[in-house]
Amino acid sequence: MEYILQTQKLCKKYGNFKALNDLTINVPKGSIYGMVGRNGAGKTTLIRVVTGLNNPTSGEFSLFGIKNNDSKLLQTRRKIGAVVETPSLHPEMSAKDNLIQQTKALGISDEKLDDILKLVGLANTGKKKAKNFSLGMRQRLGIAFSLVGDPEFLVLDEPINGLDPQGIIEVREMIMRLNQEKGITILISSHILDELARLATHYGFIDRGHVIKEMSAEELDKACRTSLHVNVNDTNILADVLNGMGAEFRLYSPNEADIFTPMQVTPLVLALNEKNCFVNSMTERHESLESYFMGLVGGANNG
Amino acid sequence: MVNLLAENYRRLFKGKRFYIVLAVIVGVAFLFSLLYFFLNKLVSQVDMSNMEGVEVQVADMKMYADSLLFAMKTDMPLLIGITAGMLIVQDFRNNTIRNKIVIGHSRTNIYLSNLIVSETVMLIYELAFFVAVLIFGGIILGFKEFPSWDICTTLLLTLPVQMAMTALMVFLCNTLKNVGGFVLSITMTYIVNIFSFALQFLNKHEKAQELVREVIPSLQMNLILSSDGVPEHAVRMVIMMVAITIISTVGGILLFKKADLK
Repeated sequence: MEYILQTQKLCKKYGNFKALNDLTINVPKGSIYGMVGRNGAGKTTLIRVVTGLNNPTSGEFSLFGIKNNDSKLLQTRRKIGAVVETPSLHPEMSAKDNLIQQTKALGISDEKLDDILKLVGLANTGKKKAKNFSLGMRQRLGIAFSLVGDPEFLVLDEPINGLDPQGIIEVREMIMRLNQEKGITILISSHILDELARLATHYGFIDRGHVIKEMSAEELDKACRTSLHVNVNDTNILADVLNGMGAEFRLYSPNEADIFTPMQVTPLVLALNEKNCFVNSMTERHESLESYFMGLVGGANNG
Repeated sequence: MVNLLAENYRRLFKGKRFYIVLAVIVGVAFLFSLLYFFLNKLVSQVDMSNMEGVEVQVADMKMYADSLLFAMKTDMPLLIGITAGMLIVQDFRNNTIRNKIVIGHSRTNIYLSNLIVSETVMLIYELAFFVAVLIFGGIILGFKEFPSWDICTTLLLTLPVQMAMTALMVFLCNTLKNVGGFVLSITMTYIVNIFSFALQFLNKHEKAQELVREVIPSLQMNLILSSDGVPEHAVRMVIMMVAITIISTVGGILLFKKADLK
């Protein structure tokens, strides 16, 4: 498999804090690689290191097969577009003027700018200055910035932050189009895991600066177990009963839990009934990306 | 590098700040010319016959535009800083510096392009003031000696000083990356003056004092402006300013290369 980005035991320290700790990821060509992790897990730090904003403390990475200590890396970076955290814009300029700045920095003509503005839905902003844009418009202009150089690899850090539902759908469709029609490889980090699950073809689960698991969407689909989601009046009693049955489960609230071990429903309901625990509802469901991630990083109680 | 310069120049010339400061510079030249004109008028109205024992001739008191050519020399770094310093700092504040790094521009080139644009601002402002004095001063006051060898040489000698001060300003703005760096860069002249004067009082060695006067850009500027004709160590002074420009630039690039950006 051909990889656009590979890191090898990448470390980044800020003082004594290890933001990246022997981080190793592999972003396949043509993929939408979703980075999943809590706040402070190291997602943005990784993006900063890859885009050249921060220098790694140790370890190495390669972009398009060019290692980070190779002088050709700067040339290779021309194939990258990125939005890191907040969009980087010139507030006193219009959307088009902002993009013209980027064409100057790239040394290319500005004939494609109208198409890019149309693509991100900012075609009719006219002379309105970027400082007067809404957060969603700024996000989209940030993405437009990253598209000016016709990138082969797009790095998007929380691209749907601050967008309204309509904006989220538009950005999602745009990312899909860029990936499917133009073949752009996309590295994306987002807290909105449901949204990420609709986009990503590959996942990297990051915790405390370390990749704990990498997998494709198909692998994740297989790994995500079917569970029985129950709503009861007291999950403490439910936990006692399930422990007695040797079942694997996860509690979410005083009333909700997922049971992963396949079991017959009637004996469970009867056992609960004996201890005055009443079942309000019971549904079979497929484990979500969110619950898979929580299970992976140990964010919830496991039986 | 050419692309970075194109981007920086476009940003410079699209902003209002550059033109506002330019207008201030031209305006100062005009106002100084008017002020000198009215002072000359006042002096000419003084009745010298009533002043027994005073041997000053009215003609000697008349002010010409020659001295105006140097009127803005010590304040020019402040004005250059307002335009060029803010241009650099805004790139960091708006995080637009990221857009250049992400697409593969080296930090050395980014720093050098900032330096070149800032030096261009310095040259444009110096030229604008010079031309404005030639026009307004020439029409309103007239010149007494200009163009003379001494005035032209002195004017040329002030350029390396301005170049060094601009390089230091770029160093501060690029290294501190915030408004603090900008404020420090525009007040640098005054802060350095305070410390160097103190140093001169404390230091009784004449050679060391001479060195301080020549090596500190703002003091060297005072030395050039106060000397009668070309200063004694003119070549050495120019070399010192070039050295400051090179050292601050190399230091600035090394620090910028190591810096982690937001």
